[in-house]
Amino acid sequence: LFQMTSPSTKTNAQIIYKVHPLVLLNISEHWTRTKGQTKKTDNVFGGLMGVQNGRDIEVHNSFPVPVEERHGQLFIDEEHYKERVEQYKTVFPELDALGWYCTGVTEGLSKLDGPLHKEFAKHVEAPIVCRLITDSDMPTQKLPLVLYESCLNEPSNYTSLRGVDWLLVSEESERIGVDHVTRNSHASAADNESEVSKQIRSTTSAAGMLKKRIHVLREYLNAVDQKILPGNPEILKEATKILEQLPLMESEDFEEHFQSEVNDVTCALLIPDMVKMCGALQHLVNSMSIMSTERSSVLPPMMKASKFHKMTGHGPDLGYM
Amino acid sequence: FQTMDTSGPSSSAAAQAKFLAVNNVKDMDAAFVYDETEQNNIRMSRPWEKDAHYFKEVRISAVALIKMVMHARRGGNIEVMGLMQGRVDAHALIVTDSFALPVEGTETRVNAAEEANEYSVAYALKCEEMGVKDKVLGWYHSHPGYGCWLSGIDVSTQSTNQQYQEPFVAIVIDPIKTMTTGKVEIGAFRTYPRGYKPPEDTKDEYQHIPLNKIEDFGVHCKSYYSLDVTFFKSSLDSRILASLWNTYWASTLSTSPLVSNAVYVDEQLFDLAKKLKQVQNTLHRAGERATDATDKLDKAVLDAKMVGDELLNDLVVQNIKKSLFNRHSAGGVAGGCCGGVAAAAIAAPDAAASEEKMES
Repeated sequence: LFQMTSPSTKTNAQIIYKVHPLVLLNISEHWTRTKGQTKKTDNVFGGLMGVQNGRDIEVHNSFPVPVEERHGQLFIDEEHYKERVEQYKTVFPELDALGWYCTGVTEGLSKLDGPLHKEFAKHVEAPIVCRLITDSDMPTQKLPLVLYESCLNEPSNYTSLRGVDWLLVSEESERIGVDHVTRNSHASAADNESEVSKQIRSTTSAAGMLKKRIHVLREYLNAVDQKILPGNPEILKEATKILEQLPLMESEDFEEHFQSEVNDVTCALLIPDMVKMCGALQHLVNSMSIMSTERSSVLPPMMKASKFHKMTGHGPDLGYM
Repeated sequence: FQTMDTSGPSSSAAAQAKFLAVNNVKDMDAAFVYDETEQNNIRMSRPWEKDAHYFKEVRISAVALIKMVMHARRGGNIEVMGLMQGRVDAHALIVTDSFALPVEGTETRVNAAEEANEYSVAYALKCEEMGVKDKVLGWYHSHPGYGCWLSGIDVSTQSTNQQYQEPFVAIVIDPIKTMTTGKVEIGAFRTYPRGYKPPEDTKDEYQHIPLNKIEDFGVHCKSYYSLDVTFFKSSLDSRILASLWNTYWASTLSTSPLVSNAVYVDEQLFDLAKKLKQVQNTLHRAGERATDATDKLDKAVLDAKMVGDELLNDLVVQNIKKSLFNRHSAGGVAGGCCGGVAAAAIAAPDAAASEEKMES
């Protein structure tokens, strides 16, 4: 499992909330589809499925739920919801219903959306709420999702929901899928690009990100040094840890091992070239055989043998090929 | 990219539209709109019946792809399967969503097919209740470790599908290869009707098939053709994906493909050795002019080239990492910034400590 910390550095000491990128993309798809069908940017709602291990809550998946408005209030189709949970548990038995999701342009729950919490609380104990922000002006630094946890004393009251930090976790296959779609859904100008240059491009852009982050860190540390900003002991502790590890990068051992690895790989890279040569030689032999049979019908036998000899520098026996 | 001449009288909106069109970046939000009348008309006129090669392309949405890859991976070495929903767009099939089926791909239980059917009917019903109008138009399954193609059983399944459930497409994902190469291994196929003779010049991209499966592949590879696979995402997806990159870049930089691909490359090389041995045996038996030995050798050359490319790729990445993080390399990023950061950090803890003392 692959973990990354969320942009903010606050952590909820009590419970750790984790969300998979698939959940964000599912909700996004639901909202986009609804927007396309109805031509309105109404908010959409659905259920969350995931795993709760003691103090660790991980949201793996989500599904849409039909919601209708009656007398100015929203109600969910409870039968639909229950059947959907069953269906997901059939294919993913380890998942349980964890809560519900909604979309919106603001981070807070509105008076209209909020009361749905009571509805979902009928099916899930202390449900969590994920809200996807669909405001296109939000900066792309932060992932557009806020997560709320229920107050344990009043689990069905939406006004006592508390916003909490969450971690983005991905399975390796999830990350590869995301990476693949990001890279391959661009203009097909990249048709002539080789795999190697695509890889170099993505690695160098990752290196660019690293450089930016290091600069931010350096600016910060300089500012702390010049007493412009107060020092945060957490950050400083992390920074010193990193610096302490840097000397590891210059060991002789590493150089030696790296070089021997490079040698091995370079040797292995000779294999395709050798195979290519064998293939080319085989074609040459075939062509020669064809040529010699053609000539045998035109030239007298003695001349044929000597011509062949002149061409190859060998006798006519090439059986070792 | 073409540069834009913005000095003209055209509005910026028109300029942007032109830029997008020229550079092929479509606003794919439109792909999520299901036009019921249009789709019903298409299904009634059935243009694919007249042309065995009618469908040429499959466009898969971000969500559908990620779900399929994760499901395939979850199956591990067991073949898993699921269905896909979407719509038809001229000669392309658009896949907007996918869902897993609670059965294994190679199950021989009699009631497995029934179970799958029941589940998919119930699932599709829920989708309808949600107002999702996209119909089921394909199935996907995984080939763990042996590449994306249709086996004999797959061909007969898909042929049946193309008789009774048109329009329908078959998609195959190799989760093992995906995990080792870090790229999604996926293929889309449609079978030819019985008795149809495909044109000789259909160029199918060469792919590496392990020796133990090559017979199954060879016998059936002429009964179907592969479609181009492209991907699309909505504008909200793009925003999320851009934010995701803000967190994923670190893993891109920290992967060591030489290490993680080592086993896979070894397997490829062993397979190559076995194939070359086969070529050698054929030559000894049939003499130096055996043409199918030459064909086999040509294929082995392509296999070798693929392994070589993979290795080269991994080596390049490893070298980039080394020049970034290893202080011996001149001008390494970490090396350059290090000095400044080190000096600041050594001074900083003192500053922090004194602040704390003042506050307490």
